[in-house]
Amino acid sequence: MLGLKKYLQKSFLHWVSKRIPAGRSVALNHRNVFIFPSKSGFVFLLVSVLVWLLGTNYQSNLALLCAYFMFAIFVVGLHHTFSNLSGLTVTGLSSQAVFAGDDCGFDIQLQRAGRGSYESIMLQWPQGRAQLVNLQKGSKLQARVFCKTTKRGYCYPGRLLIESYYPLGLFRCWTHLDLKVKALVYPAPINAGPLPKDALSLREGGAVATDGGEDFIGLKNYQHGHSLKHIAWKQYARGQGMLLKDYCDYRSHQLWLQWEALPGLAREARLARLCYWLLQVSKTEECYGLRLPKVEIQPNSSLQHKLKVLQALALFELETDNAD
Amino acid sequence: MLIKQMPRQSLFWVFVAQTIIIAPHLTHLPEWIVLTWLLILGWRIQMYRGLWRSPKTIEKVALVALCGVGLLFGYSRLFALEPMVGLLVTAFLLKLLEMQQRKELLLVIFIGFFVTATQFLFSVTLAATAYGVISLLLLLVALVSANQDIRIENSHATVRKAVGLMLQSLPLMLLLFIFIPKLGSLWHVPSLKNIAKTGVSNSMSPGDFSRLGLSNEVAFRVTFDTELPRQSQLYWRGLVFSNFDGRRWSPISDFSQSQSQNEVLWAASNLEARSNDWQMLDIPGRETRYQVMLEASQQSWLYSLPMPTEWGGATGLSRDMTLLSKNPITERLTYELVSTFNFEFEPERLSSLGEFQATQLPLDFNPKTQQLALKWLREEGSAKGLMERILRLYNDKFTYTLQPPMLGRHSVDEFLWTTQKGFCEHFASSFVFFMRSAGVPARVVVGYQGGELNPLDNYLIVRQKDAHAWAEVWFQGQGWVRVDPTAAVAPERIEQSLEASLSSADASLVGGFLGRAGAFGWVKQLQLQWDSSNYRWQLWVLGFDRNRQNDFLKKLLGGLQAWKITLAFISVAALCLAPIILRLLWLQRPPPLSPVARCLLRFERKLKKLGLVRRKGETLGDFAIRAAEQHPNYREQFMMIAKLYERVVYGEDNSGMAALNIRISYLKV
Repeated sequence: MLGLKKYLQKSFLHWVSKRIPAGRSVALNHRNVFIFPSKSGFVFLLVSVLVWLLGTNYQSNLALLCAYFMFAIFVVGLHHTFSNLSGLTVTGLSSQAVFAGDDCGFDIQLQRAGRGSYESIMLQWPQGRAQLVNLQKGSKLQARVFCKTTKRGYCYPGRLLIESYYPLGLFRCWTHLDLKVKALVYPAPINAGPLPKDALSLREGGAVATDGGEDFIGLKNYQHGHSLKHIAWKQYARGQGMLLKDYCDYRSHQLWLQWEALPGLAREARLARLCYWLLQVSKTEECYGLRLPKVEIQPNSSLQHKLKVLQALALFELETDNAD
Repeated sequence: MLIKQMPRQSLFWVFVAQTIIIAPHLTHLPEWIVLTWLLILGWRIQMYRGLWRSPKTIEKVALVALCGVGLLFGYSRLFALEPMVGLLVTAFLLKLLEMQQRKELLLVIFIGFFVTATQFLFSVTLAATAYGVISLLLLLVALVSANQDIRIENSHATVRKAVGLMLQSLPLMLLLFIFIPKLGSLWHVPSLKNIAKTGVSNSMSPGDFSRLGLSNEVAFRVTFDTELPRQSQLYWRGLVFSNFDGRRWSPISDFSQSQSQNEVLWAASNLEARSNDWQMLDIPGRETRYQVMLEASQQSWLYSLPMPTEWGGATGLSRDMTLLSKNPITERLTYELVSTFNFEFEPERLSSLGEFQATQLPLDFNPKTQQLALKWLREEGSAKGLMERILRLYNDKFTYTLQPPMLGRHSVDEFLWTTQKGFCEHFASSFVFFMRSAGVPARVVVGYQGGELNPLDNYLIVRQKDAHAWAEVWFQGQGWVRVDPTAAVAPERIEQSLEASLSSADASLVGGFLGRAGAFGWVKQLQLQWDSSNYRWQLWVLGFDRNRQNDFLKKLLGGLQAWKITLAFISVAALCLAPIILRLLWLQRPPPLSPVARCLLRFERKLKKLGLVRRKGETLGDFAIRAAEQHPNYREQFMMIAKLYERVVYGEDNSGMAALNIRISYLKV
């Protein structure tokens, strides 16, 4: 029984995926919105039939009117429930990158064309929590709908379920939309202890720096939390904004997060630990680089660099199976 | 999956709706259900306020068990309407206490719909209907708010939505009501417990009618298709009493017996065949066609003007010219009749049994009357003379009053020769007794006399206070003749109304409070207005039975073929639903374009004729340049339009709008 239900559900979704093409932005109308009485709706119909039997058996026209009223409400409710979704335009906006195992939020925009009110619309990814939204004032709203992630790489949340029972709960009106959104999922960090000694390596092909220690390598944007002593005050005075003088301390240890530092571990285990070290290192101001088989990222300490390294970890050896 | 939490707002509306729905049932629900209701409502409200906890399983089981025992033993009959409603209400209550989730809340609301429907079985007045409509509306409000986001607390909008839904579904409801064929009872259902009703009963003792005189309740309403007869002709015959035991008048025998004796004509066509035997002759003359809507009397006789010549359905004419129904009238009944005022009824002879019945007397009662009747007959020499003499006596000496003195064992003697004050039953009873004492066949007839015309809809309202008793006397060659001794003492009663015939002190008692209030003109007007709407309601909604439905559809469609009904239904249903769908689509229409956007559209359309189409993402400026390159002779105009457009849109300078419009209009391609 359960198997049959699952099978039906699966073949329905398959059919839906052929019927409703994917798109960043989808306008809901009679072609892509489904409607069917809910369980409560069937109970309501049953009650109206019972009232009809009561009215017929007791020859009471008022009870009959009551039964017909219930039936009429059922029919009118169908149109209202349908128009509570139809007419909306659903757009997939941005998503944030998260670590595997965290909930990844996708920003979804609902926009209405007319001034009809839309209430109690539920948005939900197949692996995610339901989110209830109302669009009563203004022409659009944004909602962040979360999806569970399990492994690194790109997270494709699947088809977004948009569902509504409003106003009477007698009908379920729903659709499954592929909004062509994806999110980057980094490996979940696993505590691997302090960085091993052989993660340190000297600057390649150059002499040890002389006194004075730090080489100025350029300017980078100030990020909250950076040390004030690195701010390029001269540029700030010229009105160029808060910039940081970016230094690489060649005398100090140059950090390489290396694949080889974790021998004997499986790929995912290595990536998880590298991710942990990366997070630890990025809290300091040291430059670090990444060495994976066939991947090398030169050391740096900027935020962009950190994201680049994280992305490399996330997508390592996945490019082929998850190509866009 | 819907978010499961139950909205507080909806819970509030369910409290309100449940209270409103159960209230009218309090009249017939046993006390323990009322107590349970108060307990559960209180508990739930405390839970709602967060003061009490929800019931434990053991408490719930105990409550259900107690209620089950109460239902099993609290009702004398288990399979009847009242226990069913009791069960429903109990379920309605227990579920309220138990529910935790949204879908359970919906179930409670659905049960509410059913309980509301059962209310309509107990009372069908216009007021009860309005009450039912309010109950349904509250249930809808609860239903809408149950499906709302729990964060929304705008009850105003919720109520508006519910009212909108209700109004939108009314046309479809009426349509279903008119078109869906009405079936008879699918299986036998026990009817409601007999409710004690005021009205004419199947026996008459002194004081019965003067009590009815105090009631303003409607007995029946009549619409005349032909001219309204004179007030003094409106004798609504109900029952004929021939049996007298000294105090009580009653019919010859009980109905079941008379029916089994085949003394009832169940079809008017039989009248012809039996008219010789029964000696009912209707002399061609004026016919009166009318329709009577009888309130539930719980009795099985009907009221008619003498003499009915056409009647239908489940009614029959009995040997004494009264109409009977096969079943007691437990709900309002509408029947159509034709009567003729020119008739002779058993003019030639009475059967020996008939004569015996019409003259029998209990000999040990009223000795003085019996003696005097024989004496007066000798003195007058004829039955007619005797009758005139006693009527003259009434006219000279008697008083017509709603408050007659009490009478003892020899009630007729005391009334005729001592108290001489009485109401119609005293006059009818004493008159018939007197005539019988002289051997003249006579009998008492009870029913109603007169009625009040409601000028708003031109129908007659006959109330309980119009209940009346009179006599019929048999004369050789004339048959049964109506004699109303009351007319002798108080002719106003017959020609006008009861109030007109009484002393002012008595008149103030007529019809109880409502009747008295009618003395004020505007109150009377309101009463008539109200009665008129009720009558129409009963005639068109409550009385819309299978026959009426068939008649109506036949008139509307010219036939009752299934395809015609289906076609008509579908087309009218589409008409009903179209406005709803159109309105919803209208709400979804895109907002109108701004004037600038309209200008742009016009410009683009004109350039399209030149074979120029703006590319996606191309600004109007770039487009104008590209267009100017291909059509250099338009260069000036294109550049100007683009410049103006940019000024209006990006410079937010609306003064350029008019110029832009003109430029585009003058652009000839």
